[in-house]
Amino acid sequence: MTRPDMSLSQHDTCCGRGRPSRRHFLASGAFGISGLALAWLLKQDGLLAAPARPDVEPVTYDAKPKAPHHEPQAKAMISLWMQGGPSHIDMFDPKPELQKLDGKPFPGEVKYDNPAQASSKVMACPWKFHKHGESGLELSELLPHLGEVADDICLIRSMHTGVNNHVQSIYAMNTGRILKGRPSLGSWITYGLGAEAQNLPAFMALGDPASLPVVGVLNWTNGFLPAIYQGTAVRPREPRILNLEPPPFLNGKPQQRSLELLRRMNERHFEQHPGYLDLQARIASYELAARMQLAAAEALDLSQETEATKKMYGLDNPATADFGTRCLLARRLIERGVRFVQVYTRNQYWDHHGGIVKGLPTACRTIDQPSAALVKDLKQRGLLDTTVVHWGGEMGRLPVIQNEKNPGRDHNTYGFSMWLAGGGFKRGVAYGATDEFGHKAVENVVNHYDYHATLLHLFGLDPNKLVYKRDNRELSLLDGQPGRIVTDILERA
Amino acid sequence: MKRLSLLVVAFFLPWGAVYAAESNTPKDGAEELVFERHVRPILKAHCFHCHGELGETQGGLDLRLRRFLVSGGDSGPAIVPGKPDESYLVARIRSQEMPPGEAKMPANELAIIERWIAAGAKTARPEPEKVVGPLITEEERDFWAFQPIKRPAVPQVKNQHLVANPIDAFLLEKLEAQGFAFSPPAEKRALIRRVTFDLWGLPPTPEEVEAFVADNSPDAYEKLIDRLLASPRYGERWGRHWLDVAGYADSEGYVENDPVRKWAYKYRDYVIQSFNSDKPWDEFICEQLAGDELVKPPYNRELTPDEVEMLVATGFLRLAPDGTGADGVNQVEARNDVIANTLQIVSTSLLGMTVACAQCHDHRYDPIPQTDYYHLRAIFEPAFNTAKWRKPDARLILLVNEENRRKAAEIEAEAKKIDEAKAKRQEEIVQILVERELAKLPEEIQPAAREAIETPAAKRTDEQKKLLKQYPSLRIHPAQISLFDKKFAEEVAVFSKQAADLRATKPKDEYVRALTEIPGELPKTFLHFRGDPTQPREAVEPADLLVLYPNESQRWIAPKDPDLPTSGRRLAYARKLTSGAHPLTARVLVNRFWLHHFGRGIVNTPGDFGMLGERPTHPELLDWLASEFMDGGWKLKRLHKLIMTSNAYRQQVRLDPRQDEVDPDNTLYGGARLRRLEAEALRDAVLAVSGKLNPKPFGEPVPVMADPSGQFVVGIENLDAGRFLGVIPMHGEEFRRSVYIQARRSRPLAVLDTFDLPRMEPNCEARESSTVAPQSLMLMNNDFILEQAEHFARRVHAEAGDDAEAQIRRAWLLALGRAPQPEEAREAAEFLAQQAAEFEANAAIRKRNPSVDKNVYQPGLLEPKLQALASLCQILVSSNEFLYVE
Repeated sequence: MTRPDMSLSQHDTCCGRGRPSRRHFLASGAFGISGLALAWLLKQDGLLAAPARPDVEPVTYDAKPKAPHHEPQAKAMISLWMQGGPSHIDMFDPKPELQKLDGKPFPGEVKYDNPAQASSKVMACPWKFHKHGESGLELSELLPHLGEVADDICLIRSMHTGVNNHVQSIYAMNTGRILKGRPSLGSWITYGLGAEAQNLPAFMALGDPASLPVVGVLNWTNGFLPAIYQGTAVRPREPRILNLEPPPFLNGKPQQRSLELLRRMNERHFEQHPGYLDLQARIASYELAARMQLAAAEALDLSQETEATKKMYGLDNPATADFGTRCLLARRLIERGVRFVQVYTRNQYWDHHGGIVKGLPTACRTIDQPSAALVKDLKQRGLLDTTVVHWGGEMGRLPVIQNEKNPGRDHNTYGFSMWLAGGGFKRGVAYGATDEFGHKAVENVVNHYDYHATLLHLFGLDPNKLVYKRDNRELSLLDGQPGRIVTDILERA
Repeated sequence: MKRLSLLVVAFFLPWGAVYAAESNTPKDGAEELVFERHVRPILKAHCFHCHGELGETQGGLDLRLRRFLVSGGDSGPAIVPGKPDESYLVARIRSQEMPPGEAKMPANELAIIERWIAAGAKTARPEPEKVVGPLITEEERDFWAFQPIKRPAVPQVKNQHLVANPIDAFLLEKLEAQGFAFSPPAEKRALIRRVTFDLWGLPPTPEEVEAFVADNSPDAYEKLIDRLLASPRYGERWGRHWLDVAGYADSEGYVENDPVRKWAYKYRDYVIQSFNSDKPWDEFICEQLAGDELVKPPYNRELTPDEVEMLVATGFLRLAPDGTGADGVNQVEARNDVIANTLQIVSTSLLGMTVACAQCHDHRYDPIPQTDYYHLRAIFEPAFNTAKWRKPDARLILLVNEENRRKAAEIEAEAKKIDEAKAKRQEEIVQILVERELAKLPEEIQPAAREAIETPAAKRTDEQKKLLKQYPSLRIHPAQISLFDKKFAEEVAVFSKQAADLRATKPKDEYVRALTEIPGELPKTFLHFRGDPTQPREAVEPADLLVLYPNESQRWIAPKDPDLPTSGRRLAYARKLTSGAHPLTARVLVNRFWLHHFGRGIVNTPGDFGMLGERPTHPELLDWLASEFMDGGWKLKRLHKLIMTSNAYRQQVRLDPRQDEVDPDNTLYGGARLRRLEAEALRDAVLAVSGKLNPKPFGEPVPVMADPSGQFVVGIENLDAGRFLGVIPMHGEEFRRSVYIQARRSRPLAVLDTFDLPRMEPNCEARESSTVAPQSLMLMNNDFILEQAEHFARRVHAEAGDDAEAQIRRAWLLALGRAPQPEEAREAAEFLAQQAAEFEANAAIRKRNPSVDKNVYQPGLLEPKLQALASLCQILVSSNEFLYVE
């Protein structure tokens, strides 16, 4: 196959810019923490521009690497998005009180979402908890593989969004506010930092073959940010990205010549329509598309992985094969310089209003091994230090029974669990606590905006400085909410 | 489990933003704080759920009226007027015991309550003596969207010379207030491109452009609009807008195998025809909501075309996903979901309110009590009737046509004759074949064998049976003739084909996908406790939203008219909506029309005119348009012309950096906005430019299948147990307009899907427009684009000849509606030469791939110069100038 752009050597596909320069040279080595530190140092030298901020003059938006505000610890992120509300009290947050009160009336006040099917009867966790690793982190028997990496994860047991419905809580966790229309987390991070890879989209979304999660494409929307920071959805089946291959007769030089003429036409058109950033984003998207033809096929080609790796992710098991494949793809993308990857479970996968005794173990089986494998794999490749792995959804579940005929649990956004690994998060710790029944977060509460502030901090971004100016207002991910950087869970403050 | 509830605890809501327009926040204490305006919205969001809503009064406390606060609950008075520090309500909120849970009341809201108590806890007016049913305050009733539509006076503006019609005056008033005015008018080429895409979803031909540019008559532009509106292309474009809101799909959805809705297309055609005939929208709405009630049952008689149309129109209410025909679904939930989704479609399309939020509880932000949801549901209940549910197939109405029946019977009789002749001939052939087989046997056996065959099976002796078993070839079934003799088989096949061909000429049975009532059945509607269909509570009567009727008695749907065989509810409701007095319908409609013309709604949340929706940027203009629309007989073409002849519409694209800064979203309309083509317009435009567009209207949708790579393309599925059997030629059907391509929920056509084709779950209130690399990849490498680029090149060659310069010029005119600039032409010529040389050199690659199905178009086989021209054509349809319209 002829390459459309011969100037791209295998070496610099990781950062992928055509002309080598000092900046390029330095940035291209930026795989370890040293590279990140370098980017920061470069900023001190004034070599890298500050994060783009629109002004009266037309501004260019791109996905090239940007200097952070301070020395970053994290470089990339994989978010395993567990939509529906995994039951924290059955998976992450053991509550002996529940075992004692099983079937008895709940002693406190419960905030129900659906009182119709609610009962005030306590439902004990039907599964046993065990301590794992040197840290002694307690996890339920539904998550045996996660137990193997217990010493690498930071488990937060005091998550809170306080808005008891999927849609709003998804917006809170994924876009910062409960209202529709704001940019997603991945968009903010790529807006702030660009991406190491210029031959793959900076932000990629890997959906489940069965269905999109609740709120669908808005999970990876750029909201009011320029379109270039929009997540690019990868198809859930092969071919993961359509139209990646030019037909043989166009491959190489002919297509390159076409794209060159197209670029000239589009730039002339953009000059006549200054300020229409979508035009600029589309010019960039052609350039990205051209580079993706080579890079994406390679990045998404799992045949290059060893059998041992595939087995580790559970690709040999029908139950785990799909989610495992997507976790492995996420690692390959991050490895190649993609900034933010989100992997989704299907629509309401964890929404166990009923049938939890059967449903939850099934759900856990599909994700447990691949999720743990991702942590192990990143660690063994030395990527975990700079890659945040996030595992969690928009809510947890209530300690009481919903639907007595076929027991389940109702929504609970007042206290739930999620875990993070790598990228500067402490390892082998559990942070925060819910009340004795697991209903409400009571100790070291982590709101969605605290989580976001902490993440941005690890990426070297100041949550108050990462702003987008529009309509004479400075818009930000936190949007004025009092996000605190949860330094207690960071390896370095 | 799907949940439509919007149980939002209002902690994070920017209340300033929600209520600012209603001046909830008093400025500098200048305004006196009153319960209804300032305090109640706070309590409604945080407290009513347990203290007042649906009879729920925990601790005996109801917070819906000031006097209830004073009288208090089990713990005594909730407030002591004048003394916030002694008020129990304040103490409980301050201590963060209330509201329970982590979502606390923001300090600024508590401060408002405290200041209100301190100032004596005033109300705006005496409170009602009796509380019957849900309470709606005057403040809530005062919300802009619930006010009657009145035709406002047209403002006087400074730039009177820029006012072509009142629309301009309303817009200029606000622009001038910021020191701006309109941008200069668009030049003619840009204008004809804009209006043709706007009204047709297609580019103008070069000839149309030149004719318009050359037409210097004063009414040239008006004539252009008239011509576009008179074309059937118009309905295909604007009908599609309505199909979005209506949630049109050619499949049932809900379950994975997504069964096809064979007859849905008749509704699609009805919509397109209604737009083309400029059917007044009051009628259009009545027909869609209650067409069946305008036709006298029974429907299993021969109906007139008008009656058929009325029934087809009710397909609107049959568009929601319907899983009730599938195996293994929970019928209670699935039926309830059909009704819930239908109500969502009706309410977002015609009321512009998020009524669905009130399915489980009172709407948190809008004055829509939960009972309202069920009052609305009661209007539709008789037709849906969950107790006597009819699955999708059972709701199909066979169109009885006596003439067709008679014809079919005649044809069948003829075909039977051929069948008989065939049977006779088969028998003869079998005889001959048996003789042949007998002859092959040893001579001594032949007589016995012959006797065995001629003996009826039941009477055969054991010996005969044995003999026949030994020589199985003696027993020949007519269907096996082909195994023995090819020639005979062909002879038989001629009969079969004749019969089949004849039968194929039978008029086919046609069905209508309709919503109807069964006369005499009038099921009750019950409020579902917390939205749960298994927990019915009190029965409710059909009515419109309470907040819309200052005089409550007018909200009700009249009791059943004894002369009407059906309940008459939907018809009565449709007439309410279109009476001219309804505050929402016309506003919601004209706002959508405006949105499609300008790329932005006056209310930019077209499906939500409530508290959480955006406020109108130009409320007077919206009302003026709504009045104008209704006074003009609810005719859309008239409104199109009005809007399109405004100077506001005819502006050039906004290029003013000062306005960019002050008004980044162009809410003041100080210039046109650049808009990307929607998915369908893009595909159709490519086909138009390539010359391949098949303008055939209406009828069964063009099928969509998965190609070998798993991408959904136009094509007839040809699989045998999953094995691909080859491509079936489509004979030009594949080039029809996108609105006629099958809209199967599980098979979005890849070309459209990539460019943000909406998913109908259950409908689409406003489309998103994304810009991502897969779109570029599609335009670079997709077979559809590559093929069309080659057709485009052939067309250019046919129209411009061999001269490169002429070709370039023609290609530019076809794709972009303008001649190339000299520099562009030079670049293009250079490109053509280089590309042709390249193709000349790599001729080896450009050969037919023998592994590709013969019916599949393979791009890349043109002679070098034409192939180079195809590359140029591809660039043109991939360019931003093609993808975006000014």
